[in-house]
Amino acid sequence: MADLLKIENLELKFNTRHGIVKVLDNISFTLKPGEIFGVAGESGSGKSMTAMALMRLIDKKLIHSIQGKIFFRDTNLLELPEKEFRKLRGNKIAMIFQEPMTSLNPVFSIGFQITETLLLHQNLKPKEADEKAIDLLARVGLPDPKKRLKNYPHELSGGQRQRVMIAMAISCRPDVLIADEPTTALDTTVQAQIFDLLLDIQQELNTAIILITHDMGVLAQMADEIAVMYAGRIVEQGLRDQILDTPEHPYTQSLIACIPKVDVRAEAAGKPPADLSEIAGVVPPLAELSTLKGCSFAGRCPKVFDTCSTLKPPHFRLNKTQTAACHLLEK
Amino acid sequence: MNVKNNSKNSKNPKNPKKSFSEKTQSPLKEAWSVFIRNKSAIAGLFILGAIILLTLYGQLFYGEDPFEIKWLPFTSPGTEPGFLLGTDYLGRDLLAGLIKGGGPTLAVGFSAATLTTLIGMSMGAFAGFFGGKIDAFLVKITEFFQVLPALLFAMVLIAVFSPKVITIVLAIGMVSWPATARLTRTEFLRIRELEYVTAARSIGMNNFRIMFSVILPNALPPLIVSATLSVGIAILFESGLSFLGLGDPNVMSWGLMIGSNRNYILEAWWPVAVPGVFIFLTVLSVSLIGDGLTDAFNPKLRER
Repeated sequence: MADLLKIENLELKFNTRHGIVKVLDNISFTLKPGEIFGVAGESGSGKSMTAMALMRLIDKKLIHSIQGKIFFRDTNLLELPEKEFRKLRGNKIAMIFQEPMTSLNPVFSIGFQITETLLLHQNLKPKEADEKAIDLLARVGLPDPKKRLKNYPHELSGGQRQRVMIAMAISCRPDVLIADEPTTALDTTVQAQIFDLLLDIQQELNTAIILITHDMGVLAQMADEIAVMYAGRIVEQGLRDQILDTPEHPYTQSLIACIPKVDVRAEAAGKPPADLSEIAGVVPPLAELSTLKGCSFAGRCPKVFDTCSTLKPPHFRLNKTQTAACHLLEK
Repeated sequence: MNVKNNSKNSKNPKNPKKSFSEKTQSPLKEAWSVFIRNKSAIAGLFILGAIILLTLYGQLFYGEDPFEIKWLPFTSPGTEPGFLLGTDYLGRDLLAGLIKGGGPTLAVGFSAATLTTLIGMSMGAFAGFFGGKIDAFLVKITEFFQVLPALLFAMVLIAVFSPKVITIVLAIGMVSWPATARLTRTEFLRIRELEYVTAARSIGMNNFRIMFSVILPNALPPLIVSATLSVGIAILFESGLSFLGLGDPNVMSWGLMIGSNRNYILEAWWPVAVPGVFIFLTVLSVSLIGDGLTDAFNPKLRER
């Protein structure tokens, strides 16, 4: 199958008070139609930046340089003039944000906001747009959609607002849907509903989804392929089962070890639950990263050795579909 | 699974759990319902309404010429039938002046406030939205106008371009927009960082549309308040200019009445006091409305 989205060596640098800082380092991956591509990593690992760079939503004043290529079908998105790109944005490539509570404009009804998206990209009459908005709201599982059109965001719950956001995002049947931690602000039961909805949409519209999350458990259920990011770099990438069953990078291993396991029987028998594991330390600040010679994970890695602090590990190809960037894999 | 459950529920109107509150309220309507419960704001609305009615319809019932000399000068109010409020230093009817002069006073006040808001809003919107060099440039212009002594600058403008009502409106607009510009800029700076603006960009809106159909409606509440208050300021400004003799001498206004009678205040206080009280009442009512709007738009103040 032809690639829908192909990112090649994406590199993004920011101007900051501490000088020029590399935010994204050599990001490459491809997305096929209908595929769910998971991006995992801690806060500050560059997951959201990758999404924002894809959508070209980063404030131009911050950007020092952006290099590499992002192909959507045959067009390089980074070379497309803003005016042309605007036609794709929200139309062929859409995005769902982290905070449904603040992602909707508080002064307009949700019906107005959905029809606005439709009218922006499609040649519809206002009445047709209204009908389509009702269909969309029904599609994302909002009860009584006709009445909901007149509701304002503050009258809806977090889960309902996220459904509205999804309705807006899928209103033009996008080929690529970027979901940036779509459920962080929602409680667990609603999370499951939203993910069910995303899966439904992916199957129905054959939309490829880039799912950004820090929750490996979610990716284990949803993703076809997973990329693990650390400090602006993809450190390991592979099919879901490869990442979950045979993680090769120590960072991926630690992330997977962090998924809490609930042993109901042991708890019933009165045994204390197993300790939750954590990865000691924090992601190094971006300003330090640019001066770092070796591997950015070296400071926290349980398997660190000499080479780690002097040489940046290249990506080693482990098999046809899995790569990882760690000196341990050098043979 | 859950999706299907929900759609089933929607077909069943008896299910109480899924019913939303039936009343849907836009933020503006909600603010309005708070506003009309505010007693002092409603009082302000009534005073202003009464003054507007007086100046609009007063002439139908009392169409005397305010410039015409009718009777002896310095007639006290209530002493001469037919001259309810007495006469001024030339013997002109004060009641006629009050009715005829209210229209221009209010008109100058409202149009100057509109002009102030329009200039200030567009300057602030562009500065706050685009930031960087555009912002720096527009802020410099704003500061330039802000450090000019407003009254002197307005006097120069009126002295250079003859004292007509339109010149006065333009002069007041020109000197009083910087405050609105700064307010708009701050609001735009704050709102443009919010997530729904990024979301609007992500659905493919262009800058112009984001500025005026996404950010501006959200920045409106403080702007409405400031526009209301600037009506009061503009009325005072116009009165000040007329007092100094820079008003339009061919158009009766309350400021002109005060200005032309001020030399005789020791002999007769009422030709100054009567229009003065009306200016005071107008500005007070506008301020009360402005305060009411502030409370209505600011949910944190509502609880107090």
